[in-house]
Amino acid sequence: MSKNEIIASIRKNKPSLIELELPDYQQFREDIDTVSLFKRQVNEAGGRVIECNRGDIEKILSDNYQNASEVYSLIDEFKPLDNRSADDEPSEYKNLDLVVLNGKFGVAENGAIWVPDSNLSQRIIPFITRNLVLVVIQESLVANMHDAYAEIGNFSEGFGVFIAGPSKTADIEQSLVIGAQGALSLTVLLVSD
Amino acid sequence: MSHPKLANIFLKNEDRVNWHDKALWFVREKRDAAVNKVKGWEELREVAASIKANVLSNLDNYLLQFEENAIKNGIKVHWAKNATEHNEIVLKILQENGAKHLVKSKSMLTEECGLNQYLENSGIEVIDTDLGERIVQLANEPPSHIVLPAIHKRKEEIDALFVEKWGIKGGNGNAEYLTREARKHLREKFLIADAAITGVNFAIAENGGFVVCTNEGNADMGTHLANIHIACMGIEKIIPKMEHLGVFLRLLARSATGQPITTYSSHFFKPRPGTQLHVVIVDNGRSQLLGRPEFRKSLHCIRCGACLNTCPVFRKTGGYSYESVIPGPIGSILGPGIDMEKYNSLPFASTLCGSCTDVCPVKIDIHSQLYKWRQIISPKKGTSIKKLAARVTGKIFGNPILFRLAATIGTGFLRFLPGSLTKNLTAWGKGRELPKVPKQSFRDWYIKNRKE
Ligand code: SF4
Repeated sequence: MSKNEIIASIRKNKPSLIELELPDYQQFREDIDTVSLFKRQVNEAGGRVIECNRGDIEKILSDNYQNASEVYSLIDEFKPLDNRSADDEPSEYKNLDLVVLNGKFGVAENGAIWVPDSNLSQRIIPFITRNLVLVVIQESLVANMHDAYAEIGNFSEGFGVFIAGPSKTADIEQSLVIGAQGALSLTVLLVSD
Repeated sequence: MSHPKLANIFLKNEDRVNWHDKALWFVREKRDAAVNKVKGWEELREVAASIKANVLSNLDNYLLQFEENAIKNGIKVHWAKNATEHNEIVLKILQENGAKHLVKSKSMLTEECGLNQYLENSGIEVIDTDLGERIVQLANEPPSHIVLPAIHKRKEEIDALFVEKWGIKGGNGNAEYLTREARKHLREKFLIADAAITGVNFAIAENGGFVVCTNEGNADMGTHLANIHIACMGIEKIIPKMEHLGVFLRLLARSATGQPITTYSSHFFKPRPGTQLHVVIVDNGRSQLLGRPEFRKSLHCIRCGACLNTCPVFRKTGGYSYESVIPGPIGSILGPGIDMEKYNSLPFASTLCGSCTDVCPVKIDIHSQLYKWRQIISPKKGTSIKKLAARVTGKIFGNPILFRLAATIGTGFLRFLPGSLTKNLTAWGKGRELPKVPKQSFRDWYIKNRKE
């Protein structure tokens, strides 16, 4: 069996054990203002941030996306009519114009937002939609990726993704184009409760 | 063909060479800017290198642990000794499920295995979905760079290619227009795909999950629409713990493009309900490499491309001059390990300036390994190292010896060099990352060369 052969070959060739050190993540801690850094990084990643209170969410969304044809929301504050169910084929979401989801938390150093399966009804929706809105609670922001994984802890869900900005590419002569195969825009509603 | 011969072909088009050189240097500068913002970057590289060293010394156990946890999560795990087995496994999964349409996101491993050709021969439609990869696929070319597959192509050429292949109206090379057209085209392919293939950036031993990083969202568009996801990984992609992702994700995108993180870092643990998730673990010579202490560290590589972008030889000669799947400095140490005869010119495609080693986020001693390969290869070839090295760099830099000295010893020599050379050299000399060379090997090399 190939598995046994590969394992045997590794055993034969590997060096003697080098212990796994416990990294000291404290040394990477910086004195930063997480909120302003997070906002800056979302912008640099091609997204935009709107700071608001929870009570304003519905109005902001209806004002900003008046013309959105197909809207899908999984947040309590904004429930446009839709008759989708979790059993739909993922391809049935192909014409989504706007998707609104809760992010679990944001990361200041890179503007990334953690979105696990439990915040999604279907894995495809944050990618296939033209416009994505993620609601992030200001108090949830962490400084860097070390803190982010401490926050995630023992993960037992099937899928999770860090999303930093809208999809993008620079594959044509290194000129940056926002909107590649995933969402064309990302708006973060940064909520202070 | 050898690197110097192929480089000569690339060097014929001076405009392209200059553009290529500048474009990659621009990426290198973006990397520097991003890296300089991180507190403790050097320590972060240390941590990453020490994790990788531990991984290699315990690789068998980590792989078994990964497999056990992945199976618990409903992932099917396959093992492939070599490229042929890898391709057969993938084809079998597709055939058993009657899959005809396959979308792929970037995977250097599947390039290494020649998967596309193999599947196409069996009547499977294979669509590369990373824009750069789609471009080279349409042009019937391999990627010329591991992160920027179409960096050797000008926008007008891409325009003409899309017009020819898709019958669209030309867009005068407008990148935004061409990207939108590609988006439309790829959407159709995503929607009809039966299966999606991705690479694996990191596989986590402690919980059986794995992470795929993209900017375009193409891996996610593929995997969350199709009912079969096959992820292909080299045995060295393992990391022990989930928390180590914090270290590697901080390093990867900054080193690759100067972004603090890629747009999407997707973590897969279980198949989507009602679908299949397969992982193919591939050796293909890696466990042999593990047994060579002097070259073992090249298995640390996280394929960020930084060593390509910074390499003066790569920038001036392009990816195709290397003829190996992985070009550039890292390819030049991996190549001879795979086939020393075929790739014997690659370790000489370097000025040994050490810039690759300086930027490598996982601290691979790339230029020392290049030097070691020279020691192994030149006696066999019966020519002196100096001659071989000069054949490569001489074409590019005019005076290789002076160039190398300047590049390695430091900035003292810069004022003696002609302007066109100092432009790149001063850029190296700037800032905190003045190339460092391991004292011993450089002295050895220098003394030896002086005698000849
Ligand atoms: S060798 Fe280092 S710098 Fe080069 S691609 Fe690999 S990780 Fe990046």
